[in-house]
Amino acid sequence: MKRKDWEAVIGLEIHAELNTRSKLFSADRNHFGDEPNTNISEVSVALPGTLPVLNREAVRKAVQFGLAIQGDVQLWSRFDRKSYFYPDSPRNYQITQLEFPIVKGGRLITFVDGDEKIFDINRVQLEDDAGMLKHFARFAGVDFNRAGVPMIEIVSEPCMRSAHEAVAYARGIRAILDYLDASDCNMEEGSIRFDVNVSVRKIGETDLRTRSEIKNMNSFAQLEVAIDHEINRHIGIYESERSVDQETFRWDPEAGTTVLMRTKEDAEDYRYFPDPDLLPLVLTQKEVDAEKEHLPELPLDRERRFCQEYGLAEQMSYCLISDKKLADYFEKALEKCKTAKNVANWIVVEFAGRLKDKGTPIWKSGIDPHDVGELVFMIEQDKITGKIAKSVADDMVAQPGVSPQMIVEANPAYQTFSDVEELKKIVHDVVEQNEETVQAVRAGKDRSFAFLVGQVMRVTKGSAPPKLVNKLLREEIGQ
Amino acid sequence: MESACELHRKLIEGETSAGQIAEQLLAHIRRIEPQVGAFLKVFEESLFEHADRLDAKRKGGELLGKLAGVPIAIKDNINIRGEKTTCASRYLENFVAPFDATVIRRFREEDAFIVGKTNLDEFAMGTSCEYSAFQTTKNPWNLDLVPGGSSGGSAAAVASEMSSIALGSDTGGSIRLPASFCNIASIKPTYGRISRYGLVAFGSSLDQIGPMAYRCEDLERTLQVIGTYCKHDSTSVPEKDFEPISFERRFEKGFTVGVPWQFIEGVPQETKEIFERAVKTLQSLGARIIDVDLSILKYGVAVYYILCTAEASTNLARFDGVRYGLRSERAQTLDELYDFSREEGFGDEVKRRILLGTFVLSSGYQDAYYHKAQKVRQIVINKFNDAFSECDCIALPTSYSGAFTAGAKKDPLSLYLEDLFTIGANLAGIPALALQGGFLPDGRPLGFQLFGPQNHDAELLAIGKSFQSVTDYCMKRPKLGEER
Amino acid sequence: MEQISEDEFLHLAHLCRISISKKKMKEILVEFQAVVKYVELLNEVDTSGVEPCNYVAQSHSKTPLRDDEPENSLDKDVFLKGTPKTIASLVQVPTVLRS
Repeated sequence: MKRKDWEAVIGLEIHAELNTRSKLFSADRNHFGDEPNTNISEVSVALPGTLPVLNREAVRKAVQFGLAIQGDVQLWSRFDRKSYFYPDSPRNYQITQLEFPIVKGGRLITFVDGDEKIFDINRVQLEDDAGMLKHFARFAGVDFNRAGVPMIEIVSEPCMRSAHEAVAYARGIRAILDYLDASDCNMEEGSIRFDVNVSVRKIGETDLRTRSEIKNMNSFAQLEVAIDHEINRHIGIYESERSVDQETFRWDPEAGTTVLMRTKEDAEDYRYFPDPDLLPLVLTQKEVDAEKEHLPELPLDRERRFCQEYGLAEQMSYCLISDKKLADYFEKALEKCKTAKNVANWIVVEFAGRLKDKGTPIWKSGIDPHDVGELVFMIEQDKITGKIAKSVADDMVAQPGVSPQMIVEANPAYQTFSDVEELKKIVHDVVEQNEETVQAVRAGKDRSFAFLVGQVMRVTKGSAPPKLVNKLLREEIGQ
Repeated sequence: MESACELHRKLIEGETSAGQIAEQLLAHIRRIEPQVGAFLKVFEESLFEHADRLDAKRKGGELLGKLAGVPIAIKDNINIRGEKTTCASRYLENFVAPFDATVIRRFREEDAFIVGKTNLDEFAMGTSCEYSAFQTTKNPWNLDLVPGGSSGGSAAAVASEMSSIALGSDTGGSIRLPASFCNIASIKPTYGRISRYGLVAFGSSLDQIGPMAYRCEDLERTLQVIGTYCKHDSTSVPEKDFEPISFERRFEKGFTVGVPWQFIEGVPQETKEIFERAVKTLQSLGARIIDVDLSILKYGVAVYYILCTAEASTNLARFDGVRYGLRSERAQTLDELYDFSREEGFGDEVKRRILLGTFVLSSGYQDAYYHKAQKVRQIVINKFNDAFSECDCIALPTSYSGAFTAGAKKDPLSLYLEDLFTIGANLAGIPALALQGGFLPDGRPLGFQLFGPQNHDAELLAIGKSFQSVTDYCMKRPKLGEER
Repeated sequence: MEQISEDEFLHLAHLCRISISKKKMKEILVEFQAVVKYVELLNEVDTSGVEPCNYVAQSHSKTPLRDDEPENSLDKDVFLKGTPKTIASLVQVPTVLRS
């Protein structure tokens, strides 16, 4: 229900945990899923007398990300203390970068509904994550394994104009992090989270109106729903002559609605000031340039390469590159079959469709990419028909790891009719039994020919190679 | 008692044994401590164990460390693994540290005798040692008087010879003021010289651990051991570990001492006399005296109390009843957990400072208070730089007057003003040596200070050694008889 | 500088989780106002053109970097033993409103 005279103004703050081996300011292990309170140190649980020391690798990953978004990597940045009390925050202040972040500016180039779009980024800052709070009926429990894990917060300009754009942007950022191997980017595990700021204004207005914030979103689908919900809510408020309050929400996916966390009055005064336990983060241009040299292929570059090198359509390329593992899988499959368009189609349409119920992406399914390539190759070599290939694909999904060759060998029904003499006999029988149709073919009716082909296929249960069937039929009919 | 260096020499050369040192020390502590109350805990058992190990080591022909057999008392805001670090606060009354501070680790490596934990003002916030939650420490020179703070326990322990050396911490004068009140020497080193890892943070940009002893060579010996780079402290000075220098070689052509006469104008006559006598002694050692302008320091206390409380308000936020320390039994909700635990755990002065620190950082006030103070701090630094372009060191009194009677000063502001002469060194991160300056007519000790440029700790100590070689204040000891 | 009101002071106290009883409020507030008034002495100093001092050390001006080598230096049991209240391997706190 979009009112045409209104424009949505959306900004995203993305928190991405960096996948370093140790934490941002202490050496304890950065790893998800371990027994609670085992990946800790005196520093990360804020025992008295402890001090922070910055992780070199976290800085490197932040710099790489800054370069990947064509941002201005700051040779001088510093850390600030952000104060608020919460049980998952051991120091009751977070160490972050307010005034002087490590990256300023930047942009993301990605596709929205087939069109290339550029989104502006305001800054990227390094900061440490809090622990995890687990809620029980009458109390809560805190696990500090995550306390101190390095994060970068990526703040966009309020440049998105629809939920769709916001999701495309989020996917694009995620893809870059993925390609850099800077983060696990796992939304279920919380290694990437989104805070979204939404406001609306009448088209033509230049000032920004009051915005509301939805925190800690961790699903693209829900992100889109939540943003649309907020846009409509804002419009509804303005159209009933009221005003929007500055509020912070969390999103309830089951109820499909926002839940108030705090109002403007409740807003914390974070009392930021420079952290005296850390000196400025100083980089040299040489160090930054060295990182630039070592940047891996980024999503946009790969997308363009797929279009050029493999002749794929933009939509298909974009789809393949969105997840690095998928793109890698595709290129591995190409080692067995060079027809990129077909291989792409089998991966993105055929197999993806079959795996949808399982909820597993193809690169996690246990199906070897070479096997997918092999399957397509077998079709092209006329070893199996397209129809049989679909059944083979079903089997590959049901028994991941079994190669298509083995599946076909094990199943006579899949084997193409290799006995040419037997096939000639069948063709002969069909022609004999369908005299009228044969006359029609001789008269030039293609549909009748197709009928005859169908008859042969029926007898051979679809296992006869179509080209051969056509050839033999034509020969038999005498054309 | 001989100096720590002398004691160490005796042990190395076999004139005494570690066991004898331990025995004599503990006998002395048992006699004196009931009167003075310097220690929160004495490590009797481990001291004997350590002594046995040390004697075995020596008999076995192994090399002994630079501080072997030297008794060192530790202010109870420095972590010793397996021992409580209470910071003289109810909040940490039962907190056991699971790791050694870097300074303790260095002491262990050099075979020092760690005697025990000394009393302090709660969380090092105070100038008289009267804000301890647990006990009062008395000045060994006059038991009715305060020893000074916040490192009052350490000062009293050394002054009464219950330890050769003690560690204190100095944020605004907390090792120099008690040193002055107790007739001992101490040095707050250059900011970053000694690792803060394991020191419970109060004012992070101001704190430094510092040794306290009667003799400057003992301060030097300690700095040789703990004045080294520490990778756990990002503010640690990265190059050039501390190395002592010789006064004769360094200052053979004399040296220049700047005195901020205008700034110290208002001190009482008796303080002035002691200070001027000290200045004359410096002249006799080859010092040329010049005037320097440090009038900016009259704003020092104001700057200090804005910056240190701001930092402290965040440093003490971790004491929230959640992970360790006192958790209030009354708390039903999370808010109550925070409020009641801190209410029950913190003394009034700590609460006052956290409130002030939060205020000066809060929205709407940060510019007028916190940023203003930081700018004035920069001016203080600039003024010191200007002064040091003309002189090798700066001399000034340590305190307005000597130790005062316990309970005499109730007004927090009047206690803050005790830091007037010491604070400048913390604001500028420069080394400050507190030396014995003599005695007031009523017998109270009174010291004076030398400030130097950053990383000139060795120069100050060289001058200090020289000063002590021509004066006898550092030889005097308090008369602590049998129990009264 | 105007006087800080009781309400403002209470808000301040809440920010830093220092609870003040009604009984003690007036006394503490008076003391507090006196200290604040004292530090306003700084208004006498001309700081125009002066940059705030954030870092005092002169010999080193960049933060050292640590190699990314993991080490869990605090044992879980040692940590939890010092914790006031635990539930399984977690640190227990009263219910928190979901945020």
